[in-house]
Amino acid sequence: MPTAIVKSRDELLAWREALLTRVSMDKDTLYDLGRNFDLRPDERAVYETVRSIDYLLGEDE
Amino acid sequence: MSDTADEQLIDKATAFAEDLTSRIGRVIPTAMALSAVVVGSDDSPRVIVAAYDNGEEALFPLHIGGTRRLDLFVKLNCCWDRGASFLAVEESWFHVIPVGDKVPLFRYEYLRRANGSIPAAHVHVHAHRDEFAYALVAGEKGKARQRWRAGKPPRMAEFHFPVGGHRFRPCIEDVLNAVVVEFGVDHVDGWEAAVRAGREQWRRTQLRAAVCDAPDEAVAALRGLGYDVKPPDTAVRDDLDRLRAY
Repeated sequence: MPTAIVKSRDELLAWREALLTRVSMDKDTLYDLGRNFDLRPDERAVYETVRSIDYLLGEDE
Repeated sequence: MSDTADEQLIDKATAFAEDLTSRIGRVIPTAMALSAVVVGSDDSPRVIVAAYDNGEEALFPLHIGGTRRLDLFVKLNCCWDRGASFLAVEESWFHVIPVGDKVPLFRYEYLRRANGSIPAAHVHVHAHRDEFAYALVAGEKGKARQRWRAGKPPRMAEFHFPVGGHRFRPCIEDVLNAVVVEFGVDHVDGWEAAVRAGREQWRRTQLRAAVCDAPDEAVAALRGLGYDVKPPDTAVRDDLDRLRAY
């Protein structure tokens, strides 16, 4: 991966959508399970990435 | 890809990610690297610094005797500080996790804008002791008791162990030093010197920030060492919020 990754808002939204599809979960479910450390490592990677996207979009908790 | 993001922000974020990658790579053998993700076509001052693999945030493997036993999760949410002159860490996470496990062993975390009930810099330990759980719910007003009323069992992992506040919190070298010494995690040659150098770099940066919180204390200390210090015409006020923060 390059050191700097520049994403547009649309790219971030598409990235998030693809990640949620990958784990077959809606965001609320992913967040609930993530907060409780009840995700497999592959799912947790998606959770952390979605949280980061939300932070970049200003949609963090 | 967009190329219209704040170029200065990208430069700072890139340098920060590269520096942190270098600091980690001078302690543990790794092919992983941190990237900085920035929003383009936007005035967002926010940056994520994390490792990525296949479009997902990734872990730094930690080997013991050549076998991958643990993983290290490193992520920092950053933003422009006041005046957009330097990148500030808004939140950071250093988690040590057994390979393949859902639950970390422990977590070093930092929240720049923590509410008053959570220490800005803190550690979570994912362990269990009956007496700890009992103490958590013994008091009527404790946070764990309130969670218990909402149906959540008391857990030691929910306890925030404070570690030094905004300025004197541990750095990544402290975590790396701990896993090498305590777990015997495989390291690269010269790791001890790298840890000392990284820690010194971190503490010098934090010391400068701490001076800004209470300049008169720095002046007094410098005068005690024989320096001649001339105050500015306009007095700089102490940042009491920072000095007193949990």
